[in-house]
Parts: sequence; structure tokens; C-alpha cells
Amino acid sequence: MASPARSGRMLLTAPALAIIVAFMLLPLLLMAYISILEKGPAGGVRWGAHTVEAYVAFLFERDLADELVLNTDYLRIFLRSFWLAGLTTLITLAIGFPTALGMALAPPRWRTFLIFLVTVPFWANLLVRNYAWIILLRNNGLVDQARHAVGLGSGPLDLLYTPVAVLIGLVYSYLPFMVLPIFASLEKLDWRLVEAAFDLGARRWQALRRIVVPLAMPGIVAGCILVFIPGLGAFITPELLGGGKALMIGNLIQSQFGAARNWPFGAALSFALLALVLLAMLAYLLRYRAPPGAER
Amino acid sequence: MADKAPAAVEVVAVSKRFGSGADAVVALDEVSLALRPNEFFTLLGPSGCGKTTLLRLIAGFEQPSAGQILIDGEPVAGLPPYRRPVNTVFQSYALFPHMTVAQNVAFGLEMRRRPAAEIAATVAEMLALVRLGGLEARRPAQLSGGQQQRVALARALANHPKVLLLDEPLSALDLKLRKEMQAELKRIQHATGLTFVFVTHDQGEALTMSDRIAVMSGGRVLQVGTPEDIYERPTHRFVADFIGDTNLLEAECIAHDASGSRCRVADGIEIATAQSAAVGTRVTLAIRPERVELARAAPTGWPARVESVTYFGTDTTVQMMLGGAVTFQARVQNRNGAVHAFAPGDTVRVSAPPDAVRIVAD
Repeated sequence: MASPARSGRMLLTAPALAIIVAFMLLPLLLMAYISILEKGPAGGVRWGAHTVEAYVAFLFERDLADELVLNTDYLRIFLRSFWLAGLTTLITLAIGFPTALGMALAPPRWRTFLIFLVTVPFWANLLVRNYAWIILLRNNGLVDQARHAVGLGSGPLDLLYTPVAVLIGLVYSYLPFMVLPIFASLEKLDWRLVEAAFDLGARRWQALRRIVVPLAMPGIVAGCILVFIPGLGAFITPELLGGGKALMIGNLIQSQFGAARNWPFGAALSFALLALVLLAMLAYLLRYRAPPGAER
Repeated sequence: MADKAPAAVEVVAVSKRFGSGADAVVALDEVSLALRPNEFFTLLGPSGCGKTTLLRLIAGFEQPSAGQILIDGEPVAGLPPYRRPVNTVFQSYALFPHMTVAQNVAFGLEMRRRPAAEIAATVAEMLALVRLGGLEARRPAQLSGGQQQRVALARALANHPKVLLLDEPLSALDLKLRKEMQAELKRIQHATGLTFVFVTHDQGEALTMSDRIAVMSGGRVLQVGTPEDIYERPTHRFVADFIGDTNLLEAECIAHDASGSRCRVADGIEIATAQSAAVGTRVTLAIRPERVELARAAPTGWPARVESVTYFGTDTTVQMMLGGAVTFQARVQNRNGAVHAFAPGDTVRVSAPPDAVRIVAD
């Protein structure tokens, strides 16, 4: 099996493999180990003292009598994260698909410029862009001022530091990650197939639903993964726009390693998140074992 | 065409321009055609002649810049493709890669919201018609080129169109498969009784398959007629040249009477044609090589010198120089085997019956 050409090719992947092992696999194993250690009295861990306390703490807390009592605080943060990330995915899809379709249908000489426009936000740091949203959303900020100017109510909307503000920030931050993969798959689409659908009696909407969307599915799925998974672990946006009132998993993990000085619990939370993401990916792989139309 | 039945497709003075102003490209220039019901009608011409544009206008993918199109007597101006009683077999087949063969064929019927039982019956009937029974569950990528072609045909026919448009459907197939599909298309056309509009640049295909052919060039229709008309009696230099081999001779008409006219090609070479032309006019004569008669020592005929002899199996082509300046070829059937009657350098006598000599317009 291992022909010379094949082993040569394996050699080419060696640097990438080395980086993945050194900077991803090893830290991951370290985190896995930390998650089953006892926390140190002043942060850090007690090496050699093994316990599953950190995983238990996810759902239960100990009352004064040292009995385990159900505590849904952390579960609710997880659920809120999934809810916000899921909603972000749906909204970016609803905005991103028509955008990508418009870009793919634009004259070729315009397309490069449109792609450029989509990538412009990346030129500024994510932190800066989130601060910009604070200016927009805060009481008597630009959104309020604009609303008052056109006579839509008076007084502040109290948008900032709510889950809605976090959602707006997440949609804004992740929209390009939805648009670009969908655009890539729509750009490759054979539009003669759409013409054939029209010829066979399909209206615009039917052609979109039966031909364009199924054939763009790899791009749609890629976009959803690229938005949902980072959205789940988002940290800056809920921190700045949620103001600590709309915590997400990312903030929780950060606080365990920081202020709470509970490394094992932070590591355990990270692995709970990783396990859920892997489950979601597995479900996806089982659903789409082969991309549509890719079979021989 | 004075009968009561309307033309299957009528194209009335249709022009199509792409772009505007000085950059405008005229793809079709005042084209008029009337297609009879149940006819196998071919649009023949080189690439860029406007034949595919005309097909797309009939299908509704483009709208004419001027003129109008009637399908089954009804004007279709402004109607989108899905409201026209025509279906297209695309050059690329355009099969939906994410659907099975059966789903592809059922697509048009589903768009027209036919009942499920009818769809299933029609899909089975169409796949049987194109001899693809048993492949219902395959994906297009799992089929050979010929099978994909049949699916495209079944998919277009399933909608029961009044007119089937075929855009160079055989050009992607190899020669053997192409011959097979030519016969298959003719069989299906007879079985369904539909009007077929077939676009091709392959003159052999056009001659063998068509009831009538329209030869197109530069956005205009030059000649419409049966394959025999087109081949035996071309009206234009382009038609004579594009379809089959032909000898084109510049000549001047020197005499003319009830039976035709005489034209002088060069000093001492006068050719009789059954057509008439005014004395003194410059004309172009077209003569098919297989209608040319060659003799080593005939009392009449035009003297020519043999330049080269090429053996083609069924026949032999003899290249000659006529009157020292005009090249000319004759095709001699090898009816008695490869008899090398002529050799380069020989002097021969050449003649052609007057009805084989056609005056063609430039």
C-alpha cells in the first residue's frame, strides 16, 4: 500500500502534523488531565490527587450537609449558549444565503469587489468592532438617536447588556463566515441546471428550493459549522455586549481559570463543550455521509 | 401551408441583438420560419450562426429584440419558459446531479403538480421509451454519456411538450454511440409524433435525420428545404460549401435559352447548367464531385490535368487543374474495386450533366 510516492506525500504533511500534535493534541491532553485533578487551595491544581468532582460540579453542588443538590445554573448557561449560537446560525443563514446568491449572480467583474466588501470587517480587530457596537447600542447611542430622529418612540431602548445585544454582536461578527462558503458553492453551481428546471416548469421559488439549495448544501453546512461552533464558544461579544448578564460558555470557562481559580472545573467545562460539539458533528456526518451528488 | 392546422412553431421576422449601441452583436437578423406539426426540423450551421439563439428564443430563455414567435398558433411573447409547451434537451444534458434518474424524469411532472400515480406511470413509460428501465435509482454520475442523453430525453418528453427542442444533443457522444442515438431519436420521434427542432453543426447528422433543414449563417436563414433540396439544389455558395464537398467555379454567363444557360469558366471551358441566368452576369457554379464524370478519351468535356489521386475506400477522389488555373475535384466510385484508372499528370476530359451544375448566390 505504502508506495514511495505515498510515503513522500506523508512526509509533506509532517510539519502540519507536528504543529497539531505539539500545540493542539498535547494541550488538549493536559486539559483532560487537569479536569480530573483536585483544585489547588489558591488556584492551580494538586498534582496526583485524582477526582471527578469537576464533572459532578457541572450539575450538582454540595449543600451544608455535604449532600449533592441539583444546580442548574451552569446547565442554563450551556442552554443559553446553544440557543444564542443556534439563533445566530439561523439569522446569519437567513441574511447570508440571499447575500451569497446575489453575489454569485452579479456580473463577474463585480464579484471580486463584493468579496472584498464582505472581508472588510476583518481589517479591524474583533475587540474594536465590539466596542463600536457598544457605542451604537448604548442608551442614547446611535441606534436610539436614529430611532428618535424618525419619530419611533422616545426614551432609551435599553438594548445594551441584554441577550439581544449579544445576538446582534454575534450575527455581525460571524456573518462573513456564513456568506463566504455559501458563495463559494454557489459560484461553482452550473446555472444551466437552473435553466433546465425553468424549462421543465419550475418557478423561481421551486428552482431555488429543488435545485439551488440542495446543490449549495455543502456550502450551507460549512457556513453553519463555521458560525455555530465558534459562536458557541464566543467570549468577547457576550463579555462586552452582554455585560456579564448574558454569560455564555466562553465567559464561564474564562472565569473559572481567572477569578474563580478553579482550573479543574474550567477544564471540565471545556470538555463538556467539546463533547457536545463532537456529538453535533457526528450527527451531521451520519446525516450526510457523502455530500449530495458526490457519489461515483 | 394554407391548411387549417397552425404551424407547430412559427418564427416571424425575429431579430435578436445582444448588447446595445456600437457594441451590439446581431445574433439573429429577421429570421422567418414555419415548422409543420410532427416534423423533424433541423437548424444547421457553424458555431455562431445563431441557431442556438433561435432555439433559446423558442424555449423562452431569451426574448426577441424584434419580431414574434408563435407556438401552436399562440403568440408566446413575454411568456417565461415554464409557461411554454416546449421542452429542451440541453447540449450538456443538465441532469440534476443530486437526483436519481427517476427523480430527474419526474421533476417536470412534479412542478406541474400531477398526481403521484400519474407521475410514477409516466416515469416508467418514458424510461421504457428510451430503454432505460431498471436504472431508476441510479444517479446521473453513475451513467454513461449515452445513458445520460437518454435520461435528458425522457425528462424532456415526460412533460408531453408540443415541441421538443434539442440543442446539439449528440455532440458529446463518440461516433458509434452518436449513430445509435441518431436512429434512436428518429424512432422516438415517430413513436411520439412530436415536432422536433434539432440544432446541429454536423451536416451528416442533419442530412440523415431531418425532414427539413434550415441552413443558417451569420444570423440569417439561407435556405430551407428537404435534405435532398439542400444537398442537390443549394441556393447559396455557403450552403453548397458547408454541406458536403463541392466545386465552386467563378464563371460568366454567355448564352441562355429555354433549357438553361452556358457559362464560361475560362478560355475553352464552357459549362452548361439547367438554370437560367442573364447573359453577361458573373455567377458562381456549384458542382458536387460525385456528379462529375471523368473520361480518358471522350470527344466532349473540358480538358483537365490530374494533380493527385486519393483512395477513400468506397470511392477515390481525383484532384485536377481545370484550364491551368482552376482546381477541381471528382469522386469516382470504386464499384469494381480500387481501379487506379488515373494517375497524376494524366490529361482527362471532365463533364457534368446540366442539372448537376447549380448557380448559387454569394
